[in-house]
Amino acid sequence: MSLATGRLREERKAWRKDHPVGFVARPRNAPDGSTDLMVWDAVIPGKSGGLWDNCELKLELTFGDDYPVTAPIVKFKPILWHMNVWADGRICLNLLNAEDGTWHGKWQPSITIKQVLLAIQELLDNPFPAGARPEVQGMWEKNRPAYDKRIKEEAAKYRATSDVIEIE
Amino acid sequence: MGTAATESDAYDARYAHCVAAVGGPEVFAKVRRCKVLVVGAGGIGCELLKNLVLVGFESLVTVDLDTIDVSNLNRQFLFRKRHVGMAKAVVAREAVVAFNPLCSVEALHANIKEPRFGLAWFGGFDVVVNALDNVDARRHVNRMCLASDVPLIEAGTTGFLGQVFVIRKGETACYECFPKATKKVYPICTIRSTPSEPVHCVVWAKELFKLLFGDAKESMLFEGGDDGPDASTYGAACAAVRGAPDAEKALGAALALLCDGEVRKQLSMDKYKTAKKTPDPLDGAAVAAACVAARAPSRNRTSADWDRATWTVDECCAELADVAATLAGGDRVGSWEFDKDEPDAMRFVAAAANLRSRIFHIAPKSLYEAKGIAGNIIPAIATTNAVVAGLQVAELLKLIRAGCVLGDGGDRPSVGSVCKYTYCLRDTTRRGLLLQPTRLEEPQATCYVCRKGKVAVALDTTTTTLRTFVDVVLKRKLGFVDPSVDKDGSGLFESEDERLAANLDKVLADLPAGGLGDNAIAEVADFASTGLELDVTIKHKPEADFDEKANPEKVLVLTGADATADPLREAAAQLAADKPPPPPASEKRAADDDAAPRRSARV
Repeated sequence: MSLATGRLREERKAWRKDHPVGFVARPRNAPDGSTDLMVWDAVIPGKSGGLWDNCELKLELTFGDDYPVTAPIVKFKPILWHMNVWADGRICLNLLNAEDGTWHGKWQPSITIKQVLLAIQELLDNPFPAGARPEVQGMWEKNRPAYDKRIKEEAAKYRATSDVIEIE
Repeated sequence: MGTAATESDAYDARYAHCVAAVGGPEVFAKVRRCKVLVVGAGGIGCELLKNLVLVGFESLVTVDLDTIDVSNLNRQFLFRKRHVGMAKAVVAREAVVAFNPLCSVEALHANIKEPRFGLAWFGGFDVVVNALDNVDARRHVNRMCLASDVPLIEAGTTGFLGQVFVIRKGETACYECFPKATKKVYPICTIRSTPSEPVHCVVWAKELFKLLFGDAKESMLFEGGDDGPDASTYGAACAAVRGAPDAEKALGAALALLCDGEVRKQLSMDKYKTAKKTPDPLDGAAVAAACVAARAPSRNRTSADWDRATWTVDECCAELADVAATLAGGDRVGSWEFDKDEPDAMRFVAAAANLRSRIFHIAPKSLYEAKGIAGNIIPAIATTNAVVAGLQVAELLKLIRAGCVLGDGGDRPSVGSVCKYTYCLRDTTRRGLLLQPTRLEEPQATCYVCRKGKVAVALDTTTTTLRTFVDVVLKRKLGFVDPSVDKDGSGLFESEDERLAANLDKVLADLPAGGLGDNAIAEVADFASTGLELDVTIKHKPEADFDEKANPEKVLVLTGADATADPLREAAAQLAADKPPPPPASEKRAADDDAAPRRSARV
């Protein structure tokens, strides 16, 4: 058992024992039905009362052989229209960048999957201009009403329809 | 604040007589703020809640899933006739709050195994006191208390016998350190063809009740569409009883086949070649005629000892005919579930078991006796319940005085040095005692619940499905609530994970990740409930090697010393003998007084 798979087993156990409400995180199944610990599927719920309230946002976490020395690659699937999500779906978040001694790179081997997902949930409602998606950031800087409208449209795509109650 | 002080004064005044008795004002202050969970509000629970409130305990929660039955009223003294059908916990709460309006009692009409009663919830109590009547719930509460590190005061009674003991993680043996006898399951062939005890006939009658009036497919006697040479002759006749316009006649016809034709058929198939005594079929035509003739009101019911008398064949037919219309007609047909307290259902089972007994030369039983067998009734004695509930409170006070409960955070003595394991006896010891305190056992190294002991399971990995493994081995035999199963970190089953549901119908050897074949290790965990984690070693044993009679489920679970010493050799020896495992050595330890029953007295 490699360091990576050993750690991922522990992560999985910790997650099953306790995880935040509405979140899902589990390793993918290989074609033969066995568990592929190196790729996980996750669902993050939007914060209630926030921009993404009642949304279910799907992600894919890919772990390399040198995890947890290096951070997992975390992508939104499908790609989210968000200032801090690159055009390929990856997330621009200091927690997921290699430690570089600055504010920009904050990955530590001790960071858990739970911490990563909670940080991403936080980021959803609190984007910061960092140049990951110029077209989103441009709209946010120059035309806030259009941006706000677009965010609402984007969020509607991820809303669990059965739970939506229209109130006029 | 003024009000609080007044209430507090009122409390102290009301309980002034208790202060010295419990050990002084400091102890009494702890008694008042001690948060106690009482699991069960029945026989022991009523006594216990009354005791706790009268001693001055002020903060109680009680959980019970049951409602009050008439048969409870003789000993569950907090309940009255007007409460029948109401929730035990709720009524018990009302009664004890009336004893002391200043105390707070929360009543929960619920099953203690529900996920909402999780580890955090258990951890909110200073002590848990059990007042349960079944092994399954006791095992669960034991695990929750170990995992949340809350002391547990356990008690049980069986007639005149009883015991009280305290469980604390790491300090005493837990409830599961010593294996318990599990519920008896009868092999299908014994029930269908070769009964030898009255209980086999009663079980047969209950299964017949299900076949005729309940969910027929669930009955042991059901044979769906099987036209093989062994197919029974009575299926169609039984199906015809449901909703028959002439229920007595239809039932008579079915009974004639069951008591006569079917028995003859089995005789002709040489099923009883090796039996000591061959069955003697009843006269089917006479049975059928007696059922029809009995439309007149049942005569035997007029006699005073009707329920204690052994009915003749004709009397049995009269009873069966008398209840036939009620059971076979009406909207409950197809959904009847046997309940010993439902008079018509009990009369049916008693009469049918009686007829069955006569065929197989087994002593027929009265309705009263059959009721005891059918309901697995162990007579409950109010006095024994009162004694053990009193002892439980005495142990609780010892825990508080010693600082094991509500301690000051410093060093505290081990529960094993403070409390005792106390037996209630039926006969006095040589020293004339009816209560016998003994030392509490240490945690047992082989225990799979509190000491990560090993567990091995022998079964046929090519015929046993994962569903059977989960339902029979993990849930029923090992007491898991919501288990997950992994192999080498690969998920095989988890109730929350719909992707794995398809694995349930696969046999163990064919599961992903190489399957659970001989010597494979299943990693099992109850994360959603007790948090218990366990590695189960799988031992392949071909189905044909199991003794159908001794082990109809074809599963053998080895725990404790049997699984630990040398799992492979021990298991092989065990399997060769196919006997229940011997009691652990510690059960045989010398008694302080050899007249006393030992661990076997545990309920």
